Amino acid sequence: MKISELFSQFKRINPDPQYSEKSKRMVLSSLRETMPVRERGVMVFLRALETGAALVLAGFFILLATGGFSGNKYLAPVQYAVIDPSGLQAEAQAIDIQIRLANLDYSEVTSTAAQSTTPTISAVMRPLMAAGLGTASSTSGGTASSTSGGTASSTASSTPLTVDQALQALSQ
Amino acid sequence: MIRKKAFMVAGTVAGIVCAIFFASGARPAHAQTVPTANAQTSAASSTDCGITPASLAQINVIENDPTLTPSQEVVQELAMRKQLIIQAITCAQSDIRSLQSLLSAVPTSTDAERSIKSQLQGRIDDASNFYLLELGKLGGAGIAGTKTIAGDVLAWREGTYVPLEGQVGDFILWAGNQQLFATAQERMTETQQAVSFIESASNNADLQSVFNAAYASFETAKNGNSAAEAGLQQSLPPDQTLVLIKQSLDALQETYQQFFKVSGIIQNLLPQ
Repeated sequence: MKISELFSQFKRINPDPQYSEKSKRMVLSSLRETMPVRERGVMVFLRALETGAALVLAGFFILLATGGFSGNKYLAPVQYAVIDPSGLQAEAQAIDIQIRLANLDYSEVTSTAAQSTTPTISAVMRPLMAAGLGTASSTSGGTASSTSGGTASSTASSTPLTVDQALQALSQ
Repeated sequence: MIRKKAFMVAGTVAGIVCAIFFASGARPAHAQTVPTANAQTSAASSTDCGITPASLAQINVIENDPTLTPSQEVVQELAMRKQLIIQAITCAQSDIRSLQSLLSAVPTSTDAERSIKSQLQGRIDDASNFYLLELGKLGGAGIAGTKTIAGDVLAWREGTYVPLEGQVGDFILWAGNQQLFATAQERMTETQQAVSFIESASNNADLQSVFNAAYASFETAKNGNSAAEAGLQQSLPPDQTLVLIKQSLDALQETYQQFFKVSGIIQNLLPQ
């Protein structure tokens, strides 16, 4: 038999009518099974969620791969910070600064406390004495300044007084 | 089909949650959170207000002016004294405003800090009111009255305002230390974990001993810090509280010396 004849016989092949009818019904019935609107909404939501989640995960792995986040450093049993001398140094320096501030403050507080006691009253009174105010009996500082020259007196008289010094003079 | 899809999505989301968990758990435990130390500006109990001995000498000049009648002399001297007292009190009020703004700028994060700050703010308000009352008394005062007012204000400043100023300074300093203590606590926890891990692998007497020293000095530092907090709450004299603050800082500094030693030992133990 020639091949051309064989092909021409193929043209005459037909499906079994019963099978043909059955498959047609199946195809048509499947088309009628449309999804309810609610379920379609859920599907859309889940797809969006899936896509978003996949993008986030991909971003995370990209960061991990490019070294933007090095998990090893943090997951290691001996944490990196413990042996990080620069971090330690920075923290120790911050403490040093606070200690210096505390010392500074301490000296100021003690000097303020001392100022309220008698020994430094002469220092408060000296410029007032130079200006002819205050009691002559308070200290020898007054005598010393009163005997000093006019230049020293004019310098002392132009030196601004503190609130306490001014009040001290005005209370007498 | 939807269920299958939901399971897939849930799986993906769970994966991401795990990833985020690791990422957040792996935050830099020591993220260089060294605070900038608060610049402690001592409030100015000794601020000058433009009153000079020369301006005070004007009173003397009036007293000795032969051209003035006694009544003119009294009127002029009284006016001069009132003017100078107003000038001094106005200057003192300016100090109070500086103190208020310094205190307001202190950040607070705990109830104790907020309580101390609020207490100090209340006392600063009282101080401000005291000056207003004294200024009010000046109106009807004679020369002797102005002297009494000046003496009262001076005594009040010495007894009340100067300690308050010191306490505000102490609080500013102490508040600035709290971040240092928080950072040191984090470091202590990390160090403790690291030392435990190394000790579980092989016993190292030096490491344990240095860590114990760090731990002990940190406990001393924390106790000093708590004592300073109590001192501030009880309004102890400022120099007493300051001593406690200083002691806590000294102990904290000692803790860091031990941390340096721990770090050195661990670095030597780790494979290079």
